[in-house]
Amino acid sequence: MADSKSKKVHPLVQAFVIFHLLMVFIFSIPTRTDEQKVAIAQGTAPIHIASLYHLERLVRDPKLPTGLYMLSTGLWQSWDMFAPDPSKVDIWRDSIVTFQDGTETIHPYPRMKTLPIAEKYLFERFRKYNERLNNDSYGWKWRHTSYRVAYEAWKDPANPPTRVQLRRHWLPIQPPPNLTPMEYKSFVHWEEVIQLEELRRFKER
Amino acid sequence: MRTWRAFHDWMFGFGSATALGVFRIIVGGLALFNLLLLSPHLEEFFSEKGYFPVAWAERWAAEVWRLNLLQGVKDFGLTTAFFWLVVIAALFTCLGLFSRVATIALFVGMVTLHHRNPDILNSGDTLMRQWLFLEVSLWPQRLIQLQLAIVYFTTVWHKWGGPTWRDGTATWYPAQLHEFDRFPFPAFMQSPPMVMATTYGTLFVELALATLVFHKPFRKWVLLAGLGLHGYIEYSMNIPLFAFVICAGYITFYSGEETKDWFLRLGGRFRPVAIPSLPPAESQTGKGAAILAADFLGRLKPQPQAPAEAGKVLPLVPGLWPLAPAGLWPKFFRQAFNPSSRPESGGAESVQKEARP
Repeated sequence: MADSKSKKVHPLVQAFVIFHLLMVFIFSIPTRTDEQKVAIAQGTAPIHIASLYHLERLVRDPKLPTGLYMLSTGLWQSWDMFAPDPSKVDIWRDSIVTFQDGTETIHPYPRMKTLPIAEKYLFERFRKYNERLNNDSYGWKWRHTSYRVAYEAWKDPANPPTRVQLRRHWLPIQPPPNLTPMEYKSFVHWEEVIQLEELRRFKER
Repeated sequence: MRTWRAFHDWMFGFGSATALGVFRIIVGGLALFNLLLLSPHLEEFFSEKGYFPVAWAERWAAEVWRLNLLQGVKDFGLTTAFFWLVVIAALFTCLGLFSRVATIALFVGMVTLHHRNPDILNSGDTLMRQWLFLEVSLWPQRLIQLQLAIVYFTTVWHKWGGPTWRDGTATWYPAQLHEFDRFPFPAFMQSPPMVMATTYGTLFVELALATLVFHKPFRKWVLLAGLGLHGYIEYSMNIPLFAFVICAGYITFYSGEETKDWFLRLGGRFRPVAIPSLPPAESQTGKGAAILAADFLGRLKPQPQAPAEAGKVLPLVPGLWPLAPAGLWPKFFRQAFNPSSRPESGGAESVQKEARP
């Protein structure tokens, strides 16, 4: 806006603009590493690290108005795409469903690699959801996810699912220049015995 | 004091809102497309029997109140209706209908959907929220530029903390993650020198987009480098819409006057198109003004003559007048791509003279 003209701007407008920018910048500062957090707690961290940490708390603490401004209004943000390091593990998932008659089936979960281009657009959110679900700290979500899988897999009313095993497949990426062979490892990370009554309630939700 | 004055003038200068208007159209369109991509999966992500029930949203928001108009809403029909209202707000934002109200509604709706299910969000969604907020905030254009600079600056800061970005091997890994596969790329892109070049090149371009882009002589080249960076990522990796959402912000690095001139220069390459049913007197108000306002290339030329093509039907059905420019498209393209029919000289000045009598 080099050709813009100057006018008198209300001081409150100026204050808001500067405030907003500061909040966004401080909120976006990279989170401290565990070592730095320990050093901060022990009071041995360098002053610039300690200062940034305290600034960050200012905008992230939900008890403070500044924290509320960022967290409540949807202004929260973090720009850590492929950072500090890109993921070195390729992961996808599926489930093994066992039915009342003893048969087993592999219940698929949308896998980006195998989808046509247009569908990749449509199903990308499943990949993102899977990224979060694979994190062990989200283990409390796996039971509900198992019921969701059972609900999806239940086609024959006379033959309901009795067990769901959530399975992840992963491929550790080798450092360059070695291309990683497509040999995924598999692991059942959750097994849920499905209660028919609960599944019926789930279906009627 | 002089430095403060200079900063103040830079920060709080006034100008044409054309660039912001273009930005609003693009962001509204992207929001609309984004929502339509999500629409087939509402049951999976926003219902009680989906992957993310209401209780999880409440658990996520336990520590802090989050703007969420769907808080506690377990009725899937109600959630679906709300979703389609947000889609309408996106459509109105894109078309510029009740734009301020529509953009506020879109922002609130988008934040609500994001707070209803935060587990499916990517960086494009986060940036979309910021764009919508800034569109209706005070001093949007400069804030959008600075928000973009913060995105790039802090992402470089994040990356500099990672060993693979420092040793020049970072871009190797995302290319091997098959869950991101989109279109194939040549094998040499994965050779060690190229991996190193793309790794450090990414850091350099991102840093330039946070700093050098504000220096006018560098601006165009830095933004072109940014388009190249995001274009390659968009081609090779499945990260829907992120590249478009972030590059939408680039338009705000140009003033409204520059944006308008650019469109008029572009329009100057085409021959003016007469609107037979639109007399010049009428062109300044009402439907004439609306049609000319939509003519961002400045190529429509109102004429008082008897209706020839589009004019034959449109005046008979007054409700169809907004379609008048559409009726002219075939003629427009015929003239545009016929070299012999192009005007001898172009440029913004001549266009203004021709198209705005």
